[in-house]
This record gives sequence, structure tokens and C-alpha cells, in this order.
Amino acid sequence: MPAHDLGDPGARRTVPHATCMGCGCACDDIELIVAQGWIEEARNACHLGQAWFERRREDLPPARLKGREAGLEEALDAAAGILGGARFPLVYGLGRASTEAQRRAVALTETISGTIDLAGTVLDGPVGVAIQEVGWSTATLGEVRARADLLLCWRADPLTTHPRHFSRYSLEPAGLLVPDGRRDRTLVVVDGGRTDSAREADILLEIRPGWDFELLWALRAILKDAPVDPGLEELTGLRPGSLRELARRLRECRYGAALFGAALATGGDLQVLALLSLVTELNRFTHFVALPLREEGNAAGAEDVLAWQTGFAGAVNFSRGHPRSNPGEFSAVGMLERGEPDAALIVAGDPLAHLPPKAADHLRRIPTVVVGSDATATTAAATIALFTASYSIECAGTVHRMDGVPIALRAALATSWPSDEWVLAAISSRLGTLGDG
Amino acid sequence: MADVESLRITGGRVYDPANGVSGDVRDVCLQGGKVVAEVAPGARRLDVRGMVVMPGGVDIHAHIAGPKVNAARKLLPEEHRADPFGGGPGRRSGSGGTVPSTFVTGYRYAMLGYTTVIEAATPPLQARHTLAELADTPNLDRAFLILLGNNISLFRLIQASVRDGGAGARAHVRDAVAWWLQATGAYGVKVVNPGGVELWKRGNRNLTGVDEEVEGFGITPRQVIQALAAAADELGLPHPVHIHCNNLGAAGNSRTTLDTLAALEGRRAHLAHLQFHSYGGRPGGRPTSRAPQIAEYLDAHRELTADVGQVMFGPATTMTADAPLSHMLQQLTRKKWVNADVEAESGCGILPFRYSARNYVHALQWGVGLELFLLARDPWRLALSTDHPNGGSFLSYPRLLRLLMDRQFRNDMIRRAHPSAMRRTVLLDDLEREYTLDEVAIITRAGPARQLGLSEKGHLGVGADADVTIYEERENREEMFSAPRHVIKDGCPVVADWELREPGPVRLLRVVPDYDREIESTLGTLFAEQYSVRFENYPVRESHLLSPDRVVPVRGRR
Repeated sequence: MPAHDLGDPGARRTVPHATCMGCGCACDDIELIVAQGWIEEARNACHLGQAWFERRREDLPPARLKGREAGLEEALDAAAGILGGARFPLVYGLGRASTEAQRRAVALTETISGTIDLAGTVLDGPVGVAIQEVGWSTATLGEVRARADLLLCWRADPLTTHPRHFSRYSLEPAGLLVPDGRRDRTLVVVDGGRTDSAREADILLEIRPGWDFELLWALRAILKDAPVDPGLEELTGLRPGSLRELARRLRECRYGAALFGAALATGGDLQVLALLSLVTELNRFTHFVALPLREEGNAAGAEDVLAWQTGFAGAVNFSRGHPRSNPGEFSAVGMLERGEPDAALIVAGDPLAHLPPKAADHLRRIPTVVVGSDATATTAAATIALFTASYSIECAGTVHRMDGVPIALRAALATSWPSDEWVLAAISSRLGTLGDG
Repeated sequence: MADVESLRITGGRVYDPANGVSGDVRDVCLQGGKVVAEVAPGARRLDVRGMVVMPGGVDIHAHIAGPKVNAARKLLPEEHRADPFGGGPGRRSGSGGTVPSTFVTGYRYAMLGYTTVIEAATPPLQARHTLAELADTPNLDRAFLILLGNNISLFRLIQASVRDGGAGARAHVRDAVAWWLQATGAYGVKVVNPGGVELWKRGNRNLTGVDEEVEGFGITPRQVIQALAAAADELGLPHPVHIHCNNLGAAGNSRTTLDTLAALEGRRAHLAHLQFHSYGGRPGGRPTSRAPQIAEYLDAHRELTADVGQVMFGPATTMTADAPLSHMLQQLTRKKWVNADVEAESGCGILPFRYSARNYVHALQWGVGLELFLLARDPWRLALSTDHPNGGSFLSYPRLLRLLMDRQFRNDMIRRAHPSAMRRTVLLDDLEREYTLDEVAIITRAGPARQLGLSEKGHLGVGADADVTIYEERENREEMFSAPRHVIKDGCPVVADWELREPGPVRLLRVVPDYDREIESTLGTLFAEQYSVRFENYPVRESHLLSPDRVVPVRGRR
């Protein structure tokens, strides 16, 4: 894969149109100023992108084995030993890995008859289940940029979670059918309080927590001329009539886009299902799409790879020699909480930073192989840590933006760090891999 | 991978219609991945006495890889739970159903004797995704067509070309098409409901005729079709523009189809899933069959080819870039539905489906497809397809072949189908035709290879790729074609004695037509207006996605 021109490592140079993995936006217009063998500045990047690109990596050994520094080969052998000898291994993470590494990870999971689940399932799991039930209407970000005259943020705060979403993609830019940009668009925010995005809203509906399903279902009922509980607005903290008014606006826009994120999904997949059903219903009247605000840089890619290789988008187990998916049984968090895995492979993630306590405790107890570019709490607790090249900085690959558009990552710096893909392949070959089919 | 140095396939009855071989008992010699005239006396032998030998199957139109297919996979875990596929040494596991996972797609196509499959529709923006899925699809040489019929940048160039009428503007369209083919690794140009998907995005509308205006661009589907057909011809692409006409599925749409064909003004074109475009009847009313008229037109116009798009009773998954069509199906059936607009280029609609013999419309569709097969006089220009998985899974091809070859079986099926629908077709006239093995070899191998411009596929002459399928002769043609005994890919046995072996060598087939570099600055400006990704990042250059490949030469300016 052709890299950026890496030139003289000492000189300062500019690397144009680099792709960021700081969040699901995968902005590919980042201009990197490279100096002293590292990224000095990431122009156009938001603070998440700057954190992604400008982090200084501490001096790391190729690997750590139970805390002591180790060589790569030794660590790979030990990793193969742990994973090959496990009876019920878990492969987890992957939301920040390239699709090339994700493909290797699925192959490796199959070789060890393990279970693979993707981190970032706070949003992705419920969305996946909801889509299986009712389908959905969606679009790539450029469609929203070109056509959307109404943006509905349902418990979504893109200004905080995806800082360039409004400015580069959805609210501010001029587009084919919105030539005046922001002035041609209406921003409706439905949320619990005055988030940053709420402060930008043209229309703000503040709702109490715990009623999202009912409200979304009621909106759909209004569209279908079905009766709605007249007390619902008061219960939820809304002014009377505001639901009908909202339904009218949604129905009468030219092209509507509903943005939603983890906050909607923490209530479970029924809330997501209700939003997706509403968006589908709106297509009886106008053009409407729903877009998830995924937080990890390649959560979409992980789901895509798992789906194309196995037929299922998450929580896949290979114990019987073929893929089975059952979120209740094979979701990583649940499995860890129940103390089921006897070993784990973590790729490009730091689960100890966000797992619930019982799951984190179990992860600390079992042998773990952790593959990634940074020293984290998870690598510190790992049995084996294998350090790898940073994506988009030292390592190329493909990332799927959160709307499914595949974008190339290129390496800005020369490196001797192996990629996640290489490390996973090396472990696989020690296990007598099934290969690529 | 297994490497077979040389092989003599001996004693079989060979059907190689491209080379005039029709059931002769003769040897087929393979060496170095190619068909050769002779091999050394000590070469390995495969004794296939009593068996039928054909070139490997070529599927000209199927949906097997890419974001649309994958969205359908995610929609249908229930199908995958019902049809698990076990792995083993050298074999990945997966799921089946109407939208199998990628490894299973490759294995099951191989087990049916297919060695080349064309992915019919990829939005160029997402070519990387299609390429990655194809890389995980074993045993098949592969190619894909890119969707250019609702491409805003091309609309602008076509608009300029129509307005200015000069050679310069026309050249821009041609250069842009060439740029897109090079930038994606694609094989050809696909047009789906030209203009209709743009109208879908503009308030869920559609269009039904070639002279309706595409709002916002001042052009018509006729002009889009003419521009892209001209570009494909002038670039000398091995496969002509591949068209999914406006108005698919609607009663009376044969009118739209004939208008589309007339718009081509004698230029070459391939018509996708022609069955879905061959209906009579009043718009909004019950469809009837116009297959005889469409078949006659096809026969009279040697510059046209088509694949049938046969509907088969049973489960299917509709997946199409024709997003407004998909929405219409959703409104009718209320099933779970996926819509996915692709910026500046295309759309996508997915809906699970089931064709029932007792349903008037489905039975009519089934009948129309059979009419097209049975009335066509030139099997070289009519390929077998079910528009997998829209009309049914590729796994139903053997049953379809039996319907074509076994008149008694066919008549039994006709008797079970909705009687009014059958009365609207000529099938009740007891069409006597039974496809011969020759003709089967044409519609499943030799014809599609020729339609695609693949000179090394679909035949067993010296120089052909060593892709060979060997069937045991069986009276029940469905049984015969559903389980070839041996399948050879590039000289390597991928199926031996009915069992999957190690996967064989595969390659991406693509075209790399020249273009004037000036077009890049024009496109760069259009991209900045239309796309949310950088123009510089759009082209696929990653060798791990594009290789191994075979660049099929274009014929140069016409």
C-alpha cells in the first residue's frame, strides 16, 4: 500500500488528507505536520483527532510477558500457547483496529474455537438487534450534507461526541439542496438537558428520562392517525401539543436525518427499534434517514467484517465448528461477568477502562493477550502485551466510517513496529491456521 | 494451495459449444492453469468415462459481495441460524441461506460447478468494501460492475454534453467513466433505474419513462443511457453498458424497456434480469406477459444481450440499487426493509421475500422468465440468472435447468402455478422445447463469457483457463447439476468426488481504460461539492485489495 512520502525523518513535512480514527467520523481531510519522527500537529482535526494523532508514545518494548520486557518471538509463542490451550477463549475489542486486522482476528477466533465480540456494543449491539427486527432507513454522511433540511438529534450531542459532525457533515456546510447551509436547515434536539448541541438547536424539546420509547411510539402513532395518550406530554415534561407539532415538522421536511447515539441505546434495543420504526414510517410522507453516532473509529468495520465472514454482526461463537450468534449468551460483557472465558485476546482496545467491575475483575484473573499500539490499563494487567504500530500514523489499513463508507488509512511515518494484522497472522500461523479459506 | 502440474481428463463427453464440440468423447488436457493441446504420457489422469465435461460456470449477474449484500446479511440472522456451514482444515465456516457469508458463497458456487461470478452492482464510493469481501470469497474468479446511473458528477457532465453538443463535452463523460473504472478496480458500467434513484432521494418519488426529467439536472434517463452506452462503446470495454431499466416490476413496463432499447440507437448493451422488465397490462393494474414481444426484439437486435433474472418459488432476498422499487415493496408487504442512500452516486433497498406459486404476480413472473428462455432463438445472447438472490438463490439454478430441459417436469410445475397467471403466458400452449446440454453449456458458460468479453473463459479450447466442471449424467437434471463430481479451477481440483478440496487460485478481472488526465481537475471540483470524502482518497490503490488481478484489455477507441 503506497504510504505518504516518508522522506527524510528529520525534516519537517506536511502530510495531506490523512484519515483520523479519533471517532466514527473518520475525517479524511486532516493535514499532519510531521517533525522529529512524530506528529507535531494535526490541522483540521478536532480535539479527539488531535488526541489521536499527537499522542506521544512512551518508550515501549516490543512486548511484555507478565510485566517484564520480552522479545517479539517469545511473546508470540507464549500468546499462541495461551490461546491455543484455552477451552473457552474470548476475542474482544477490535473497534479501533483496521478491517485487515479484524479479518485476521475473526480467522484466529475460528482457529481457537473461541467467541468474538466487539467492544463498543453499547450502541452497536442494540442497533444490530433493532435492525434485525424492523430494518432501517439510513444514508451516508454526504447525503445529509447535500440534502438534509431537518436534523433530529435524539439524545445525541454530536458537538461533544463527534465534534466535526455539524461543521463538516450535517449542519453547517452548504449542499446541493441546501445552498445556504445552516440557514437552510432546522436543528431539532430532543434531550434531557442543555447539552452543547442543544444550545445550537432551533427547536429544543427537553424530556424526562425513561420515556423515550413511549414518545417515539407516540410520534409514530400520530403519523398513523392512531390515538395517543393525552397525558403523555405532561408525564414526559413536554408542553401540550409539542408532540403533534414535532410530528408535523418531521413529516413536512424535505429530507430528514435522525442522529442517535449510545444514550438512546443504553435503554435497550427497544428504544432504538422505536426510533428506527419512526424513521421508516416517516418515509410514507417524505425522505427520512437515521444515522448512528458510533464512537470508535472502526466499530462499523468490525461489524461489517464479522457479518461478511460469519453471517452475524456480533457475539459470535465458534465452539461447534460453525458460527453461532446469540447476544444474550456470547456478548463479551455478559460472558466476563459470568466468569466464563478462560483466556482472552484483546485487540486495539482498553476494556479495563470501561468494563463494569465484575467483568473487569474476571478479565484481570484470566490469562490475557493484549495487542495494540498504546500502553494502557489493559496492557499493564496483561499476561502478554504485544505493542504494535499506530493506525494512520505508522500503519496503513482500511477503516469503515460510521456510515459504512470505507476509507483508506495511510502511514505517515516509517516504523519498525509490526501491525496488529501482522501480529495476529503470526499468532495464527503458530496455531496451524485455517487460513483465508 | 494444491498445485496440479498437468492433468489429462479422459473419456468424458465434452460440451464446448464455443469450439463446436457437442458431446464428443475426447480428452481435455490441462497444464500450468491453462487448457493445452497435449500433456506428457505420464501426466496425471482423471478418468471421467460416462460423465459430462463442461467449462466452469460463469454467472454474469449476481449479488455476492459489498455493502448492500452485507446489509442483507445483517438483516437475516434467522436464515443463517437455520443453515450453518461447518469449517475444517483449509476451510472456513460460515452461514448459508439466500445471502451466504463470503466463504460459503465461494464454496457453494464451486460445488455447483461455477468458477467465475460477476458482482452486479457496487457503488464506486464503496468499492473497497466489495473488494475486501471478494478477497474473502474463495474459488471464484471475480469482477464487479460499478453503479454510474445516478451519479451526480456524471449527471453534470452529461448535462453539459447535451447542452453543448460538442465532442469535448462527450469526451469528458467518457474520460470520467474511464477514471471511475480505473479508480475502483471495476470491470464494467452498471446503470440502475437511471434518474429514478435521484428522484427517490428528492421526496420518495420515482420515474417510469425514459423521457421524464431528472429533477435538478435537466436531463432524462434516455440521455443518461445514451451517454453511458456511448462511453462504454468508445472506451472499447469488453462488456457493454449493463442496464437495469426504469420501471422494474411494474405492469406495462415492457413499453419502458422497448423505449430504453430504442434509446440505444443500435449501440451494444446488456439487459439485466430481463424478466422483470417484460410485463404488459395497464400501469397500476395486474401485470401480464409481453415476453414474446421482448424475446422477438432481442432476437432481432444482435447488439443486445440479456440475462433472464428467473424467479424461483421459495425464499429470496430482494436487494437492489433501485431504492424506490424497494420502498414500494415495503409498502406492499410491510416486511422489514433496509434503505441506504449512497451520497452522490446511488441508493440501496433490501427486503426479504418469498415467491409463491399460488400468487398471481409471482406465478406470472415465473412464467415470463420461462417464456424468455423457451422463446429465445439465440441462446448465445441470453444468460441464465435469477438475479441472485432477488429472484431466488443461485442454489436454485439446477432446478431451473431441469425446468428448461424436462418438459414433463415443467408442465407439472405449470399446472401447480396460479392458473390465471399461466393463461397470460404461452406456457399453456405446451411449448415443446427442451434445452439440450449444448444449450445449457451456452447459457451457463459460453454465452456469458462471450457477453462479458472474457476470451479465456467459458470454453475449453487451447489457451482457455483451466476451469472445468464434470457432471455425472443423470436423468433428473436437477440432481445432475446440483452436484458436479469434479470441479477444477486453474487446473487445481476444488471439488473432487463431490467433496470440497483446497481452494484454487483466483483473480480479480478488471479493466484499465485510458483517460485524459485533465478530467481529474474537473472531477476534483465536482467531488468537493458532492462528496464527504476527499477526491485524493477516493481511488483504490491498495495492492492487497486489487491483486491478484488480470487486466482484460479494452479494444481502444471506436
